[in-house]
Amino acid sequence: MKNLLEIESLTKLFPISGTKDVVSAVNNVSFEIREGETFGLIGESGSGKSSVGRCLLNLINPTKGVLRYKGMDYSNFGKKEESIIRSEMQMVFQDPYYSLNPRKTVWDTVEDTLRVNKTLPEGERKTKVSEALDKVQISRNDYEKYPHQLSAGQQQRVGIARAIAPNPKFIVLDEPTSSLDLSVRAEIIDLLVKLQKEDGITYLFISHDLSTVQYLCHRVAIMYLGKIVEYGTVDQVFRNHNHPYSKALLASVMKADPKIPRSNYRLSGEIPSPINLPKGCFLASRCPEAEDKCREIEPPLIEVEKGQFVHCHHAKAYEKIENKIYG
Amino acid sequence: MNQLLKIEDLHTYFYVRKGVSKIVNGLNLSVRKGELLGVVGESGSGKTVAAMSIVDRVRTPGKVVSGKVIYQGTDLRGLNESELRKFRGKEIGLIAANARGNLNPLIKVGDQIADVYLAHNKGDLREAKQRAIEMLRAVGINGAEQRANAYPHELSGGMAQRVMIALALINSPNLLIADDATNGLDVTVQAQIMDLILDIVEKRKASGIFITHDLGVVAQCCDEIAIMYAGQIVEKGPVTTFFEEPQHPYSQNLLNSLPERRGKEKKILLSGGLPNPLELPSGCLFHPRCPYATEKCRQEEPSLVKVSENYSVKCHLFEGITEEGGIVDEKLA
Amino acid sequence: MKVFGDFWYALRQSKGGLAGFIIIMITLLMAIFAPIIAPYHPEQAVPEASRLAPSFDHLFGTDETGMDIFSRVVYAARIDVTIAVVSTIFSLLIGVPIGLAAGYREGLFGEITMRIADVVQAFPVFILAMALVSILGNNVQNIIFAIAFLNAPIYLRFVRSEVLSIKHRPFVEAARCAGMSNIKIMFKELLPNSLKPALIQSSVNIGWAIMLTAGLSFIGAGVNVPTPEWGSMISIGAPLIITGQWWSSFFPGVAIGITVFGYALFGDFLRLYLDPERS
Repeated sequence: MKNLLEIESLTKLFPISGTKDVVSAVNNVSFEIREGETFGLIGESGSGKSSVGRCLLNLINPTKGVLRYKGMDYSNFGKKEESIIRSEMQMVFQDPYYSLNPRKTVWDTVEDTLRVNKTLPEGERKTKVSEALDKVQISRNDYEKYPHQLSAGQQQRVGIARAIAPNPKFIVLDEPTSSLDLSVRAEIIDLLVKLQKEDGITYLFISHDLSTVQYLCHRVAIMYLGKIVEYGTVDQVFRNHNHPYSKALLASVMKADPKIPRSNYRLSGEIPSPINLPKGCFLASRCPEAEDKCREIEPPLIEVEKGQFVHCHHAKAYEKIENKIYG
Repeated sequence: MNQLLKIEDLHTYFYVRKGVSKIVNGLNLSVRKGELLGVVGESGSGKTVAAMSIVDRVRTPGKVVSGKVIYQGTDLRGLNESELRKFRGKEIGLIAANARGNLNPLIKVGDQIADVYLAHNKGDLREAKQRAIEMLRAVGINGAEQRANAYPHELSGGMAQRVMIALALINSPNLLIADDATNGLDVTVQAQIMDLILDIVEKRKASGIFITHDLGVVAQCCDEIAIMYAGQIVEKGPVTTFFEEPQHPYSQNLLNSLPERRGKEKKILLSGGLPNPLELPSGCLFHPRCPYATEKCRQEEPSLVKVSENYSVKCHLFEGITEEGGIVDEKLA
Repeated sequence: MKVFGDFWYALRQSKGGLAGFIIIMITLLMAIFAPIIAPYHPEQAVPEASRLAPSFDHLFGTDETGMDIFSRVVYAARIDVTIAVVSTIFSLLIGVPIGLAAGYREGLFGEITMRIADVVQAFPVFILAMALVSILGNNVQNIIFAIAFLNAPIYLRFVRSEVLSIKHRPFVEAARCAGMSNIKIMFKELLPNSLKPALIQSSVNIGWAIMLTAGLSFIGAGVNVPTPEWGSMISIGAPLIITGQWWSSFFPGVAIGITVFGYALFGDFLRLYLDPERS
């Protein structure tokens, strides 16, 4: 599988006006997203996951780092890069109501996204709109409705229709189901899975809902205070997690099954502010396994299993077979 | 008497310009001493209004129209405001969601807790403030002495929620009602808060009603579960029994929506949403969405049928089950 | 067409809105059809007929020079309504786009425009209007420019403040994802959602503009005598009140009052009508 997107050392700092302080939203994040997969980005508040998604689409300007799409470096976002990214990458947002213009009908919301492409003839454009709305199962009766006349589930489906109308190759899904009720969540997730099967779209699924991520994603990265602490396949990270933060996060999840008890692994204290982060490991102040080394030196990236990476002093690298034979 | 709280046929309506919005429609619920009950419902199911109705916090245009709220033998609905105050804040503690929105932004948090203490106990301000600081410590706030002088907006979400818990617990209530107490909090903070609530409830042998939309919280923390739909309880029983085999079609749909249960089968989900409280359907409030609805369901509202000693379901399909029990009906297998 | 039908339906539901709309229509009709409605020429002085009380011949009586008050009130609508409506339109045309840009771009441009708006708004409107008109000259055009300039900051602020509150909403991000240029985003996404307070205010402001014109004319800084204008009519008629001829000032005063009230009622109606969540 090829890499659709490559992210190298992505950093985003937000200066706070009037002071010298800086909010480190994203700190030196590197990973790749393969074509056709759903890559999950997990984290709590302040983890920077939403900022990463927005940097990929240049809705926020990255402070540093290299972004590559199909091998093309688009970090500078010039005119040529912009036109490709804007037509092949889209986003679905968290709040279904605020992601729609309250003064536009369902049809207009989707059509206006396509109007930007001046080379698209009107007839074709209208066909694409009705195709997109069909795919998300919005009926014709609802085409002229305004957002406040739709249910939250329908609003979100319009948001998805808007994202798929230009036939993108990559969609960033920023917590698309967090604001929805349980039963509506399931509908939307089913829809997203169906769309991926039919059209081969690659997804970046940003969420803090671990059970949905586990269900939906192929590979996953866990973020804390702007850094990736662990990443690998869903199986590796969920069943064989290594990083103390991953352990704590997974231990916090309350499974809807009384037979599976929770583990007691907990972090102390609360998430510190992303302004002026300490040196060393960001988790050190809360980690039950922290040592002096952790507070002083930034932890290295260690491959604990093929394809599974952890940023921790305590992680043990796996022995590559090749090294053993020739080493 | 083992029963701490018994709610009988509670109806709460909101009188608005468009008509009568019926939010709570004949709620029947009971909690035993020392029991933790989880009330699960989606948004709009009437959970919060029900909680408010118990402690008589419903204000115009809402009104508790009928029903009984029997706390340890006394019908709270028959009491006047001053008598009711003895219960609210003392016997019954309420933790609301959205902590910062429910705290007075102009008063220091320590003082707010002290005020609640003094409302129910004789004592001077100094003693009350001291108790407030102890309570803040008990809910896991470090540096409680300094934090007591903070204003709500100076605290993080997790801390503000802990203050809400302190407020609810300062007078050692026998019944703790937590309405979406961890809404909006980070997962790791949520775990800490739930640990705390469970610890305190266990230590004080109090009872708890946890109102939530999160089935996980109920599965992990509660003994009993009640499913709420359109202001009614449609299923109630022990948590273990429920998660093994939910009975009511709505409950089954809820569980089938969980990602971990979706699996490969992709069970069919129900469409539509909760009924419009201004225009409730006839008969069983769930019948328009129910795949098993019959003519009887359309015409007659089912009662909460006991399908075994400690398990009830509000559904016509379960009528005719005799006292011997037998939970599963072939149609729903 | 559909929009018009919708508007008419909503208007009929609102008593206040309908009343305001009718008043506005009457003033517009008065202005347009003045020659047909008015029985006399508005500037024809008839000394023999001076200071006549209201009667069948002269519905509103006559003033000192014998001019028919009723005809003058009707013709004055042309001046007052024209000045008020045109100046408000110009105000919007100046204030709204600048407010849009100041809200969307922020930064240096935003700061400078806000400071200029602050300066303009710091002066008492009337004094500034007087100063402008005396520099530029007393005629209808200049009064329009003066009022337009003075009121523009109001709309600028309203629009800017709306833009600031919506520009971070996801639907604007979605528009950027689609590749919409900043100008397109400002005009297609932000503008329709930012106009409401400005439009409501403009309706009320039309009333104030009439009062401002009347005030200017009252002190002689507005329209010249003998051009009929409600304010100057009140001014001319003021000395006559002492001698018992109340009608010269009364009827133009009532005209101002009803007109301003009508626009205010309509503005109230607009507040409800422009709400996108109205079903």
